[in-house]
Amino acid sequence: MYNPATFQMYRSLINFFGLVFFFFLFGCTDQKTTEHSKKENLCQHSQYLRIFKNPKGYKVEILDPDQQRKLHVFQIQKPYTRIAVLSATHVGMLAALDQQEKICAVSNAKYLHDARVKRLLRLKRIEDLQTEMGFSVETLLQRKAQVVVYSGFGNESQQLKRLPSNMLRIANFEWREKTPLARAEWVLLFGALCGQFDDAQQLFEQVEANYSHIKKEVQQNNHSNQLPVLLSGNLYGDQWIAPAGQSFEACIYKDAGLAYLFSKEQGTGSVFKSLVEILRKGPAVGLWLNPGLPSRKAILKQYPKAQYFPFFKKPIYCYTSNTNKYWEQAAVHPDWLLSDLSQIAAGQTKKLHFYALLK
Amino acid sequence: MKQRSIQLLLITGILLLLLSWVHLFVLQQEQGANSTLIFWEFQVPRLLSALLAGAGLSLSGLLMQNLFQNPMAGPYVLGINSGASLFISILILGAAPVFLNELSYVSAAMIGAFLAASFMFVVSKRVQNIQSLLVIGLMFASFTGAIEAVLQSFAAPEQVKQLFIWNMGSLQQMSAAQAPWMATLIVFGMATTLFLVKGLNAMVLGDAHALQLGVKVKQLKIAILFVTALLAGSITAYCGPIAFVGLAIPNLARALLKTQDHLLLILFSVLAGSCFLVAIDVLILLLDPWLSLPVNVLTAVIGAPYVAYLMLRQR
Repeated sequence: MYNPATFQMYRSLINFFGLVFFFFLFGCTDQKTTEHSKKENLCQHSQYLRIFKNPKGYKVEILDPDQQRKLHVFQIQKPYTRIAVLSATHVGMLAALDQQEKICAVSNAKYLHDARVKRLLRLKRIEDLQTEMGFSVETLLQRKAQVVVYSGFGNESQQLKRLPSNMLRIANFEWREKTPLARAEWVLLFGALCGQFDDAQQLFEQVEANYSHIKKEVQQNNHSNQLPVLLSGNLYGDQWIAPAGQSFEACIYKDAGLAYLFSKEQGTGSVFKSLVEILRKGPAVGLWLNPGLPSRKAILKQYPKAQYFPFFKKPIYCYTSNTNKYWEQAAVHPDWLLSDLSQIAAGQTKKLHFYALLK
Repeated sequence: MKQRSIQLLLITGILLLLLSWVHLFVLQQEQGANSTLIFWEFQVPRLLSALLAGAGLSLSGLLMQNLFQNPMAGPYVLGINSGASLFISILILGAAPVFLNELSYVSAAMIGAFLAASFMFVVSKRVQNIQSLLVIGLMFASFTGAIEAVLQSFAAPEQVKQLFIWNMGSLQQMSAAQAPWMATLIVFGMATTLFLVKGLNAMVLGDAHALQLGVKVKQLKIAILFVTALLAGSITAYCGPIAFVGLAIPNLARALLKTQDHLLLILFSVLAGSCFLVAIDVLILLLDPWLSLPVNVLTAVIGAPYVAYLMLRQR
């Protein structure tokens, strides 16, 4: 039964709750926006690194990729001058900023590529800690390290736990990022640590612009649907280890115009495939990347049956002509890496930064 | 008793044929242009590796258990594989590339295995306790591992990588061209063992009793050490270290056959060892669509609890 008074009451109630809802909706959004503008994250690509500028300097937050919680939160008030870096990638990031003088210790020094770091090692101004996992805490104390940057594989090692609380330790999770630009953005962390944030930002913006330009060129030039099918990795024992479909490698292969064989595989790390599967998918492969060895002869020496791989006669490219140059510079310069891969994909290699065709 | 043993031998033989057929013709059927090549260069050598390595490792385990008078002896737990690994590491990391060939690999592995077996045999004369001997075997493996680590610190990255890959153990490394060589070495080892049956049976009763029966104990022990080194060394050279087969299968043979007749034990160990590794590889192929597993993972998953059970039973 229609009752105008009841109808009027319902209408008033709907209007009231509508108004309350509207108020909360926009009220909350406004508050959030204000808070966000106060604390603007200077990292646009990275999933695990956040840097905020504040009156005291830079506030850095590093997220644990597995648990998605903040692992390190620290304030950089003044530049650090004695930094221990435990991975070649970290050396490369500091070298890109021309800050090698601030390195006080490295690991696996014998493999390093950077000429200035090598000179400083010869002059004993940089200490070789030998291995990343088993370094000497005593040596770091003697070297008066203020910061230790490590790769963050698994749990923190006992050595890292023994470091004094005033020594800043930072897990560098760039290797867990999903895109090459997110990886390169970690150079901002090193910029903030060294007091060269603006330079780091400028470098990254240049890298980002170059990367986008090459990617756009690839997209414009690639009119054909017949992309070269790429296989990456090599056989280790019984397993073929290759980058997973959501890894930064898979992302850069796609940007370079390559059809990656395992692009649909889940995960950001590696995939493990049997030889049976590789042989089944082998005939479609037009290009083999990163076997991790410097020549076809070396591949055959390691695994003589590689001669029967359907893709062994196809072009094989690897960075092994200068392995550590790749590990040091490719993370901070994905534009160079993309340039190499896009040339390889197009089958016209003019100037390659890291890769060489295996003979 | 003998009839039951023969029945078990027949059943194991039939099972082996069945598993081999499933391995080769059911799980690895290939179609396409390269199917013949894949069959002869990848699938047949893989099956042969499983057959030969399973047979050879079981037999070397049986011989070691007889020599050490200890059911817990085996090429892996007593560090014989580690001796072979160490000498291969020295070869890979230290030798000039021209010396890296098939003959040098097999020779280095055999010398390493022989020296390790001799060392453990000398030690076993001073240590009567089974647990102590196993701990010394573990220590020896740690020691060889440490030397390998020191050598690696001086090596080039490619050499370290080559050694790392080899150390993982695999049934897929042997090529069709290598198969006849491996088969010759293993068959030679098996044939030699058949000539030792009388001595092996006598040794079960102890050295003194064997001497009374006219067995030349010293020569026999040297022959056992030589055959063990030949079998374990050549398998390690072609497939890398493979765990637990040499320990678990001879014990299984004794438990099922309930005999000390080494002719039956040898035949059963050879068949059951092959059967075990082929079954492991069949399991790997069956699981392949979901996950790719290395051979040593599955041998350890099955072998390690069995060894723990044997140790508990020893108590």
